[in-house]
Amino acid sequence: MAVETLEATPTQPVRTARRRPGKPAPKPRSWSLPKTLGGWIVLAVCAVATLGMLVPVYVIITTALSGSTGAPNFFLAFPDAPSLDAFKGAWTKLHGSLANSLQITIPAALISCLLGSINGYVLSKFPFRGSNALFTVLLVGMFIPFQAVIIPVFQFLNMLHLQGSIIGLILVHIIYGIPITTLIFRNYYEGIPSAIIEAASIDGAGIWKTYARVMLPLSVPGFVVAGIFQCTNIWNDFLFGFILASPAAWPATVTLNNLIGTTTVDYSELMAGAVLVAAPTVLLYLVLGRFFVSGLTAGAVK
Amino acid sequence: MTTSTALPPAPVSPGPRPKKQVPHNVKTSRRAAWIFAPSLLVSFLFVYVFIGITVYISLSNWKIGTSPDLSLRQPFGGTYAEIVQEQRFQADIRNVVIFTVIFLVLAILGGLIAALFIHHVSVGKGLFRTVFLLPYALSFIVTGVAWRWIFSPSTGVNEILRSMGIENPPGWTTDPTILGALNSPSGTDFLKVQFGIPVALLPIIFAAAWQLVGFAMAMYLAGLASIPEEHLEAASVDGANIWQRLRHIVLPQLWPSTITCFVLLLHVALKIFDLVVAMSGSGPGFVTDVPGIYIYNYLTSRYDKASAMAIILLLLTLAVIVPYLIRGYRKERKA
Amino acid sequence: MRAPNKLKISLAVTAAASLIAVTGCSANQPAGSSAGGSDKLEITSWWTSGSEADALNVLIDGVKASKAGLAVDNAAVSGGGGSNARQALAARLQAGSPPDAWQVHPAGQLKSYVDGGQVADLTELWTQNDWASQMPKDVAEAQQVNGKYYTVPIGVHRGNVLWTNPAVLAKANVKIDPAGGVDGLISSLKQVQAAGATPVCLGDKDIFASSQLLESIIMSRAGADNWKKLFSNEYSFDAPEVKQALEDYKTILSLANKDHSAITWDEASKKMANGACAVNLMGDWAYGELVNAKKKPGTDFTWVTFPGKEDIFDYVGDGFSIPANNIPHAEAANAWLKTLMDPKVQTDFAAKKGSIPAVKSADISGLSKYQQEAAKSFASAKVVSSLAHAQAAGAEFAQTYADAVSTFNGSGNADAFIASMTAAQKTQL
Repeated sequence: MAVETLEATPTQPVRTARRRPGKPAPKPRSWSLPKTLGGWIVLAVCAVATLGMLVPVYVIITTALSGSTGAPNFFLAFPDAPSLDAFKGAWTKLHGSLANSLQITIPAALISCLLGSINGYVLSKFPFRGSNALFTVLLVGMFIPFQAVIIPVFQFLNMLHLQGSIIGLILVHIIYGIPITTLIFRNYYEGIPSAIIEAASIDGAGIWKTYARVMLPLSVPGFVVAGIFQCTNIWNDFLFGFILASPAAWPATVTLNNLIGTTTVDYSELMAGAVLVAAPTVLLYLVLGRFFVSGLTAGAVK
Repeated sequence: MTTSTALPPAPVSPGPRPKKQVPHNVKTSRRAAWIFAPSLLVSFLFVYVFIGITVYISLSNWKIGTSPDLSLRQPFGGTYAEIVQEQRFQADIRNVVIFTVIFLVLAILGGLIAALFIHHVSVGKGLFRTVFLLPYALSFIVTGVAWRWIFSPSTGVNEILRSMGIENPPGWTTDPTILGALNSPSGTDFLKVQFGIPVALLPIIFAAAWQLVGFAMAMYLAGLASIPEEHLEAASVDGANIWQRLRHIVLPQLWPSTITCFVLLLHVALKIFDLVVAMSGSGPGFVTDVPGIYIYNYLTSRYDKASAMAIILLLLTLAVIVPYLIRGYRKERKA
Repeated sequence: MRAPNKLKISLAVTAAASLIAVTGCSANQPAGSSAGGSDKLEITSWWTSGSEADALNVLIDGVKASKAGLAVDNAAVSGGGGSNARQALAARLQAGSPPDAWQVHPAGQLKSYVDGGQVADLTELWTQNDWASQMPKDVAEAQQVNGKYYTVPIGVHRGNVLWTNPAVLAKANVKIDPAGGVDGLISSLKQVQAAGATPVCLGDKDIFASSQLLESIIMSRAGADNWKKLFSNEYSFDAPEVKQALEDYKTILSLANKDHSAITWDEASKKMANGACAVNLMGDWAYGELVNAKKKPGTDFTWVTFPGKEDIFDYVGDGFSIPANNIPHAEAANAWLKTLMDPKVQTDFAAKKGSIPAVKSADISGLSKYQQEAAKSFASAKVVSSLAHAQAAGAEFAQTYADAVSTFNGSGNADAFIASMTAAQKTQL
């Protein structure tokens, strides 16, 4: 079937769909050491900059390992007696809200990706009059500061008796996630030749059948990109969780922030908490980073 | 997504698109429209209608959440007049502007330079890219927590400064000093704050730049990868050196990436909330207060002030976003 | 190329799914989802620190003892000197899913809840049990708004206590004399500075520490009667005594530790007790914290009435209210309120918290020397309400005051402070 021959396309939809003059030839992978002085300088600068970027990560981890001896007097010092005590304390305080975060993130990400996929499909393959303008109107929703709508959202959730609950948060994240997932999928689907759709419609399939039978199987990379994007952003959200959730439904970011709020700050526990909260998204990024990056740059290549 | 951390993928116009070959009959178009409609309606409600409600609240007398007084406040727009005279409001605007400007310079320049170096490095590209982009995966709260510790006045970078002989290192986020203050307000005029760079904002700016420089770098790397080799080869054959190639070929071709970075990072900077809350709160004399925090604080005592500030924040954001989106929309129509 | 990606993806999905399954068991229930009934009770407060949490547990144990089989959910929220807790509470009240009881300061803070119709009228309960006669008049009055009772007091705190470090003072050969007034205080502090020690420890990361210091000075200069008149707009923030107080505050601020905006109130108190400075102005909840941190009263730290012409007791009350509507467990909530008024519970609570019991019949003989002195003071001194803790006036005015203090800390501009406070007196009271 047509799907087989198009396997190559979906993984790099953006690149191969472009037929521009002067397309750069793919660079050969080179693992060689620099050959010129300039090359060495570039390498040195990159290495130093990278180490610099890692300093905060180092700080978080070493302080988190300080455990019962308390945070070190100097932030760069490695603890004399590294221990996992701080993690135990942080886990006790955070495990409930980590679970909340998970319960909020996974459903919200899945559903908003699904809706975005359907929207993107429709907008890219079956554009109707004014669809571009309406899409732009939808996109504005992505950029607004959420404080501008937080009061009505609060009242709205009140009306539905969902204020403070996890379901309320999921609903809010889905609704405000639709513009961005639509954007990601629309750009992604642009790269899938419309010939497939035409072939399917000739075979007698309507919009939905084409979607289910043809587009969906091809959408896996799109789902991965949008999924990672949404998972990261919903997991890292603070504002909605802070204002719209009751303490029982707080996501991990809010509880982590509260650890600062207590009287005397226990930095080692705070850092251990930061590690716990950051771990899922960092792991996601390290494992599936490629898709992360293509999510960022989708459409930037002109 | 959709929180202050979210940076949408560069977006809107994917460039010239393949011609549509999908059957364009009216029936399919209408069906398509119906499929899209629910998302559009929901978005319309949750974005536009809700903004409208917030605008109304900012013009009304509604103060505390539980006793809504929806009568229009007289004189019209009285709440706006009230808040622009407040010291806290003026401090917030000053802070968010200074934050945005310095942050954009650091992030965009940093991203550009990082991209240029990493693009040309011969080994370890993937590693460098991964590390630079890692902070982007973190929540602003995690970043704030880490950098709060790094800039803690007694145990953080000040230790290094002290060992270098600097006796009185700045108090960072606890320091009320304002660098380069242009005025000295008497307290009773309209202008109630000193306009300058609050020292307390600097750690927050560094933290934000650390978090988002990877994003700018990724955008620039993608842009660099799309510069045709032939142009650069031709230029060097013509005798151009690195700097000339940079100035005349690379940078102009990176202009779209720069615009995209600028717009997206700017809208994040204007909305900044989580990072400041985690790093310092409002700060002494409101040196690190930002509109986001103002709104949050007044949610318990003055709905109308919170709404007014939210609308002002929205207008600032839209002033940049709307032209960008319209430009993207026009580009697509041309394509 | 596809296979490794698919493998990664399926691994990720499996990991996610199993995580949900595992943690789903330990997840919390969304608020308000518990069924009604008399065997559960949810209390919110901002008592999360050491001594506060211990004191709260005394109350929880007390109510459990009075009602067999009662499960108590301690939904305390930390952060911001109570502002996070109040914000979360406000959201729940708005949503119609309130807790069974919440901690509240009486008078001014209570008024916002009364105006919003969110807090239950407890007048009947008060008259039934004749609680008004069991406590000092000032306390009973503070629990009312417009003549009706809306809260039940558990303790009386004093906001204007000057904690001192005897060792540091002795070394500088200085004695703080209450009769010397604020002028005497300032010259004593300057002497301490001349002797090479930091005179004042202040921790105003939460601005209330500063606003409390300022209000103590204003009270001292202006007197108790004028202080009360500030909130009926009969006495202006423009008065010469207030202006003098602002200058005094600036001076004292200059004599304080430079990192005061970086440290919390309890860190400052502990620093003082550790010998880093001579005095620390803080309410007597600091007493509970210091004892909790194993500091010895009398040796590591001691206390002095805040200098001034008269002994003014800056009253910060602790109490609990219950919601007017949608109360989840009415019986349990009532049991909670009755427990609060049990003299023995009040004594045990005070022992942990550092406050004095609200009811006269509570036994204070077992409490610390400080608390017994405070109780005597409460009976004889002039009692006024604190503005820093939103008791003397409503939430909006208190916020304006807090903002003005924060601004003043940064700019030192007294005119600006006076301008915003006088404007607020006209429009917000």
